[in-house]
Amino acid sequence: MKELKILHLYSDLLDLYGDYTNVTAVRRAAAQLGYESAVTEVQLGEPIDPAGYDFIYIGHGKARNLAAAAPHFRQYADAITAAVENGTVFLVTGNARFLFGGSFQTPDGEETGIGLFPYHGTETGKVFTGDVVSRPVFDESVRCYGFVNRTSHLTGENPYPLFKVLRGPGDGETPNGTEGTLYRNFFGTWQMGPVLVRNPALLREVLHRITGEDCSGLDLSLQERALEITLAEFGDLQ
Amino acid sequence: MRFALAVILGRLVRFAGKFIGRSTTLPGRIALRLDHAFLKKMKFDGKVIAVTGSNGKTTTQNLVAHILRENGYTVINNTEGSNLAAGVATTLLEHCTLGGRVRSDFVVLEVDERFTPIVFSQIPLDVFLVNNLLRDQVVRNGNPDIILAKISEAVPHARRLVLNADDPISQQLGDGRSDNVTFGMARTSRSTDTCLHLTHDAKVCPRCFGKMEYDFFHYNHIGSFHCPTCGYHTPTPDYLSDQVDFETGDFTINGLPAHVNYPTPFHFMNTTAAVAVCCTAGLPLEKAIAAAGTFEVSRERYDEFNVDGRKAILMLTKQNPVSLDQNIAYVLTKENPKTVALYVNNVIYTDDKDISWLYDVAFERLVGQVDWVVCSGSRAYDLAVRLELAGFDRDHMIIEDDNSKLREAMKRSEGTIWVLAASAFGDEDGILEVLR
Repeated sequence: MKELKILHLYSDLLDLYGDYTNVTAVRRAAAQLGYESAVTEVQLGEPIDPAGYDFIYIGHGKARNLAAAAPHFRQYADAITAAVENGTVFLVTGNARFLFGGSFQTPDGEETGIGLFPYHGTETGKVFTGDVVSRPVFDESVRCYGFVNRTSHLTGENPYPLFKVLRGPGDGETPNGTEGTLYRNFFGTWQMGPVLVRNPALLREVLHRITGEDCSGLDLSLQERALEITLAEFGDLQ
Repeated sequence: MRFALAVILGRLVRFAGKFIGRSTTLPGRIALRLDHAFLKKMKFDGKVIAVTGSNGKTTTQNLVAHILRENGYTVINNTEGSNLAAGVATTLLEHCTLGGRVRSDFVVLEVDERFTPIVFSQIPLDVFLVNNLLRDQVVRNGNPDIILAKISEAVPHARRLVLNADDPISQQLGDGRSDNVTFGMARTSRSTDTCLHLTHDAKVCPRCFGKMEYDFFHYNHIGSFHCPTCGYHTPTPDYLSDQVDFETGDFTINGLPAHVNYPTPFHFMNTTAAVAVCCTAGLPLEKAIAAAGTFEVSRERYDEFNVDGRKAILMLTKQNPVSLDQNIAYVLTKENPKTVALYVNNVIYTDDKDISWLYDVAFERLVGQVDWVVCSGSRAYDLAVRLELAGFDRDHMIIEDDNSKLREAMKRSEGTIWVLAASAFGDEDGILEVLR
């Protein structure tokens, strides 16, 4: 049995909208390739050692919870930066992306990320939602669907976008054409909840980068049919 | 003058609306437009009671009104669907004098969480109940912290606050106030040591973010909690229900015998909350308990019928993980064989295609407990993906997103059909018509 080591960081603290399913989706798909996954959950206050993990996931959280995570996360900035630079596969959804950027506003003040990316975070306190239809930069022949539900957004530069947005918001409050981050094997996106479950192409790409294996043969037929129906509702948006 | 005009015009629209079956909020909208200070000009002879929170607002508000009426008081209350500012205005303009005086002993208002600051910065508030705060319809409500911040703007306007002792989130609203009233429920035979649900919004302490510990859970994150890091814990409630019997509906509140006609954990809690509110408003405990025992839960969101000779039960749920969790818990107490037919459309109000909220519903609890699951509605295939992730196998799953073929497709399934349909207020999609 091949083994996969998964780290789900702050699974208690940053936990909204079914984000946990991104880990489940990777496990299930990896099982089809004959992998057994071991998931380690690390919480606030516990040491973070990214070395040795094949996949690291951090989900979206309430604004105050994210602010609580930032000082803890920064203590491990060097090791986390090294892991990203060395090609460890990360998926970071929602406002957890702020942990990898510069300063970001919180309900009570300001915090800073580890400075890996030049973007910043702005908190509005207002709920902002919307469908997103996009093409991932790693394969522009496919379309993805996602949903944004947030009270904050990115400002400043984001030089490594993950998606070209066809419809819906990007990293900011207004459509600016791109969304998310793909840098080495670091995937970041505002598309929240079960983003890997809903987008077989994204799941295949993530799993391919984790395992190095050909993932085209994975049976994701139900997901593909569901996505096809969803995308059809947007017409022939290209 | 402007005010009187707003009342008269609002009433005319209301009168006309009754004949053409139109909106319950249009009269209020018109009144608020004619006179921006419409709510502020209202004068109340009696007390104003408000009910808000993520789940159970309508039932609890009706319960409070029922208890007060049974005790001989005159009560004005609003209906579900009119719990935004315009809905409140509609309710009040129907019952006030042209001078804006509301003469009833009590006004009991269910108010949407997000609208509590707008409404209660304008009208006086005697007793303010916050039932609970959990993950709700995400498109409208974001997350519980956002709603907590909204309600906290309304709290300073309330003379007395009634809070859920078993909810670590909403209870923070009482911080800095000394005369808060709390209600809670002791461990029952359906309490669990671990959280059975995926929607658990207080895995960490909302004060210090340390890991929260629970002695037991009633549902979702509602239960007896304590934080080993900062000491935050369930207080001893002023109104405690205990000795809960799910067979008979009998229980006690502060040791006095009480009864409900719909014995679910949720309803026992709602009843305890309503009794706490009425006592805070001045009723003796015995009288509040006695009146609560005669309350019948509205069956507007529930219907029984036959589908091709099989018994079918329709339970309407909001697009809210907690209310679907409640219905799943109810179905689990019923005998086999059974089929659970789920009906989910796009997001109500916005038509977004998002179904993230389905991943916060513990469908896992149904695996191995039901014979068939049916996925229907425009998001039927997304439902199927969700259920497969939960552990259902495709051989016992029927997927049909075409309503006209649903009844035929269901013939493959067996047993009582439990239709759990997500809707805004009622059976807007005519599911009953489709299946009958």
